[in-house]
Amino acid sequence: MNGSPISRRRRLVAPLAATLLLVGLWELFTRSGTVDPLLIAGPVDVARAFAEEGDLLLRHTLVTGREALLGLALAIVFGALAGLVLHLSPFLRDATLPILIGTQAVPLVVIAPLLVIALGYGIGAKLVIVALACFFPVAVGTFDGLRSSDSELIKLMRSLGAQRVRTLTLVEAPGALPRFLGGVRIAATWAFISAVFAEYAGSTEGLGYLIARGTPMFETARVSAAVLILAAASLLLWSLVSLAERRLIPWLRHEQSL
Amino acid sequence: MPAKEDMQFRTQSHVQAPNGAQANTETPTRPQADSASASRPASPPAPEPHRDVIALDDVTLRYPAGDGEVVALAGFDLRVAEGERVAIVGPSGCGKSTLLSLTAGLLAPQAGVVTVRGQVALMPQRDLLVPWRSALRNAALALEAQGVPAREATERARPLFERFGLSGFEGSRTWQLSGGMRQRVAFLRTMLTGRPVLALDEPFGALDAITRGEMHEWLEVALAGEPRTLLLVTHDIEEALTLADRVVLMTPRPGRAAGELAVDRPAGSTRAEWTTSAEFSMLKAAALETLR
Repeated sequence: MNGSPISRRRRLVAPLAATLLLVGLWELFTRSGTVDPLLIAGPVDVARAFAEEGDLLLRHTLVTGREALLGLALAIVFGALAGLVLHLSPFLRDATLPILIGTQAVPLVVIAPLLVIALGYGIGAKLVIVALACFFPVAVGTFDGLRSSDSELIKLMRSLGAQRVRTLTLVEAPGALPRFLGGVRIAATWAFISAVFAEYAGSTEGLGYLIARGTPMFETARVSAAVLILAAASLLLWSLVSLAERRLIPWLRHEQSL
Repeated sequence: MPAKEDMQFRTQSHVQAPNGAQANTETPTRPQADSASASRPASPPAPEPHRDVIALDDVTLRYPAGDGEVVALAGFDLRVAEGERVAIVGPSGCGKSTLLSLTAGLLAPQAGVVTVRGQVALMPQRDLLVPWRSALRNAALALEAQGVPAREATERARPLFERFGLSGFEGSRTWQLSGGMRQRVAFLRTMLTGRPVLALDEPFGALDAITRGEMHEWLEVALAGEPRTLLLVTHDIEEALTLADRVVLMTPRPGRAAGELAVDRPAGSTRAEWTTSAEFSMLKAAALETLR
């Protein structure tokens, strides 16, 4: 149902080939002597860092992973709640929408240090920063999703005698699932990056801490390894949400609208 | 009357008469008289207490459109007796759908009186099946909307699938169903409300001619043992002559009744026999002549 075997194989093989090619070029570039080997780590150096410092990398990955996932969970809960409130109350929508958009206008890089000053070096500040970064797409996705219900369907529910809450739970909420999950997917790509931001702003552990400390000390192999882990983690999280989308909203593959 | 005031008025009357009436209670939606109704006879005759299920008396409905307003219905009268099957036929934009919204209590008229005894189950033009529910649970939505628990609603919907020849399709996903099957499930959802009056809004308008013919046969069987009153809105004259006892012909903008045809279909005649009979052709010709 998901395309022919050939296109499925291509979906696996094509990105793999592209990645291998890029890695090869990277190694060639580092060996070409264009840049001082002290300043750049090639794939072989990075692989060595993984082998020799596996424990260290794992420990810091788990710290960042916990911050990213818990922060994302907070963002999903509060984002969904905010989307629901915006949908249900025109008054609160008018009152708070400018504030919500305003929070997106302030760069996280600016807020993060302030939050660390206020909340300290512990996980609390990290969770708030990640949640702030991931909150908006979830809230907007939920709100748009709830609003997207077919007006004819709402009218039908009314003629069937459904009250407001029943229309919400039976029709609007399930119908909002695709856009809600779309928001979660975008939020998921920001979770790890914002966790690293938070660690940059002040921390004693985590991949962001490793990168922030390792860069001025020319630990290029270790920093590159940390960056690779971050990329892989974001990709994994994205894939998990995509998988959830496929399982929870099978109809999207079969029809575009109701 | 300025458009804005119009809107407010309509919203207000909505609160007074939401979602049709309780069973066996009369609910006239009686608006305040405005300039349009003032020039008309003041008190329309009251509907007969036990015969008429639906009575529209001198009903006028306008809605704002762009700068001005559209008169959907002007001085419209309609009476539907209990158990009667009435089809409303007219071109697009003659206020047919507005008529159904009025009888279902989703709209209130600016002038005139709408009286409905018992509740109306509305079947919209589009099937409006939701893709996250199976066919069976889509039908059950009619009961869940009224607060019946999901499990009980599903169990009550199940016998209908059997009775109307849909066994085996209970678990089907909506995207696996053909247009005709989707419409059948939508009809079951309408039936399941248990309401005595069925109001169908061009239910087969989106189907091809062959499927539509099959649907007519299916619907005849489905309605055979049913005492329900049927109000069918369609632009298909043949559909009206096949399914209804009486056909009301409407002219567009403003919507007015242009004529009426009594359909005396011989009992026991098949759809093919009936639609190819001389009488059918004569009725069709008469309808086309009136609508011209």
